[in-house]
Amino acid sequence: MSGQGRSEMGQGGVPLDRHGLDRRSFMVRTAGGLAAMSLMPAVTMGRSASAQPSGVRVAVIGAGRQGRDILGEFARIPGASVTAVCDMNDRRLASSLRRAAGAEGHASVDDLMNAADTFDAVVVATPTPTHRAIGERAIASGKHVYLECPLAHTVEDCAALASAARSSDAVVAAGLQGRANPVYSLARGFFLSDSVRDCVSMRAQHNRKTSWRLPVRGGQSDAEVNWRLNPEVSTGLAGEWGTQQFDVFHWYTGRYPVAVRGWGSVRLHKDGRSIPDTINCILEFDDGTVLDYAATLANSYEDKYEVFYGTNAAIKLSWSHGWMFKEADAPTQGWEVYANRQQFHNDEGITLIAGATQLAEQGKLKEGVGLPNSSLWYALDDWVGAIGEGGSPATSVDEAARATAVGIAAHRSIMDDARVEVDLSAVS
Amino acid sequence: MGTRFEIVIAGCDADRGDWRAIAEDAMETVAHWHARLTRFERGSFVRWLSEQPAGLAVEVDRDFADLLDVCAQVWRSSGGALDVAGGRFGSILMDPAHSSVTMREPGVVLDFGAVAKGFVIDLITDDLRASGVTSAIVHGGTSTVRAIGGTPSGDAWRVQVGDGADAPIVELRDAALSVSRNDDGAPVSGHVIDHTAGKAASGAPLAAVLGASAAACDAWSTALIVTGTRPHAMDSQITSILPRPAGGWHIQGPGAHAVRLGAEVGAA
Repeated sequence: MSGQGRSEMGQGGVPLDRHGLDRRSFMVRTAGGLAAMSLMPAVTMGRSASAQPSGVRVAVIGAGRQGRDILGEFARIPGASVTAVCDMNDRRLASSLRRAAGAEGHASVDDLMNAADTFDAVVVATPTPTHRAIGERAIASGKHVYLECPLAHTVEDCAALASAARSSDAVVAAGLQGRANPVYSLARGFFLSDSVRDCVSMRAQHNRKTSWRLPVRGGQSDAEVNWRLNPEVSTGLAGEWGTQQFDVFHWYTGRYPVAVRGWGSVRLHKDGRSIPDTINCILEFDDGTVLDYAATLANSYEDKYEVFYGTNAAIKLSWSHGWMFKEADAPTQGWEVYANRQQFHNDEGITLIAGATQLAEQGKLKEGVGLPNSSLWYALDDWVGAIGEGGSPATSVDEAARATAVGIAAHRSIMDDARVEVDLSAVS
Repeated sequence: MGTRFEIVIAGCDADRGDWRAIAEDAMETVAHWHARLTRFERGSFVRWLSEQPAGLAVEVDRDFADLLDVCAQVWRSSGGALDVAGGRFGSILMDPAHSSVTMREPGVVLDFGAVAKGFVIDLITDDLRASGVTSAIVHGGTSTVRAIGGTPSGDAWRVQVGDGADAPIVELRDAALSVSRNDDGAPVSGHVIDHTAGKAASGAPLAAVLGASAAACDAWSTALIVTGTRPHAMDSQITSILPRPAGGWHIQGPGAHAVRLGAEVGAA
């Protein structure tokens, strides 16, 4: 059994997703669906009953905000339970143990690994610069591993983790959440079909008004706690946030940018930091298309989303929701008659609903607007399912290494105020 | 929780990053628990728990178990006036030893609207204290509030309950206060439901509760809207403030000395 979801290539060099869906097969399935009066192609919402593992015992390393969210999601993931939590900060550890009923606490990775018989799988949710050391150790232990993304803070570390993951017989997944998100899978099917046709441009943003600073407690230093603001190890907004979103474009187009030009500055949080709180990047692809990316810690308008502009339609994705905005001269497809729609100023979007056919049959199509779970839940559930099935997770560490390398390049361009060529040779 | 939370940390420089970080961390806690406790979103923990099969013991985290414990205490002491299970709280089996919850019958829907704000305010004020904050006030929707210490000048935080010249003014110092109104005094169409009678609550148009725990105060203020009077079994450490039908206020409990009437304070 391989722990890595190495991408197979479909027709025309477009990588297949884990369900083997490429452009041609999508069109065949759509046509078949129309004959049966389906509304949309089927997308799996979570795991099938046959994929329920008998009980995966999970250790979570890192009990900060992400760790807290992970513990919360595991409470609702069938077939898995958290049996161990590890964090060097006493207060965070005590707090996290209140959230994981029955779990044992460990103050160090050494201590955790000495109790390796109490867990089958490990989630690494520590600060990005520590991912390599902890991730390599977890992979070497033979446990199933879930690595949070960005994968690491250097390309060298990304390559090392990808190499370690390839050598593992266990299921090693990376936390690029778009690939496990049912709405994103559904929208990708449309993107690969004639629904969007030729992609001419791409845009994404992530806006959130927050200082990105964490309180320093429990004897830790500011550099340890606020590593995102430490220029020695931070990958900035482009790395920490952009990596997740850049990967959506890599996954849909099957392409990686060849160069990036970024700009950034501290617009609001003038507390002595050098890591910009507001950035803009242009990512150039080899077919001439560009991805226009913006992120800020100074404004929260419209949160985060990605948009693909095609000659037949635009697709907008916002992690829990997705919409397709059709051009007036685009052909109408049969299922559109039944589709749910939402108005956005002067535009009307067709709501992309995962599991629409089943919901429509039950007369509950509108109830399907928006995903019932977070993207994090789907990513963790996918990993647990892959462990149960002995299959590949939605996101391989190789894919995460490449996406992170793009994020690192974008951050370097911002900090150096120069165009940077994206070199993926070390992670390909 | 469908409302606005505000945190005022006194005696610090607002531009200093660490104080802002402490307040942002508290707001993250609010967002985290909102996502878990809302009954309006399909992915919330509460929705998921309500959908579990009857008879299945479901492990819950200790914070959530504590929340249920507060609800259970007030449910028992109020004779069911507060019921976060829509009149079926008695069908919830809680096992503290295993930190688990079992719904003994199907279709039990949980709604923590009457206690969630206070529960989260307790969590974040405890965190603020642990971070070294000695003077702060936190409120959710202006109806539930908890104070850390007093104001920077050493006075208690003063919070007015309702409006009018005779409205009580509560002096808070390391204490919580919660106020419930029954749809602006229209008890027939009020939003608080008396699950013991299966109709809109009509006990009192307004109830305020003062105590150490914001969660308990929040829960009790709703329960008193239903009962209209202070139940004999109510925790003796909690102070209740209820309007008298003929005018004036009925204030009972150890915190009564911290309550002044508007006219009285004005005269001072």
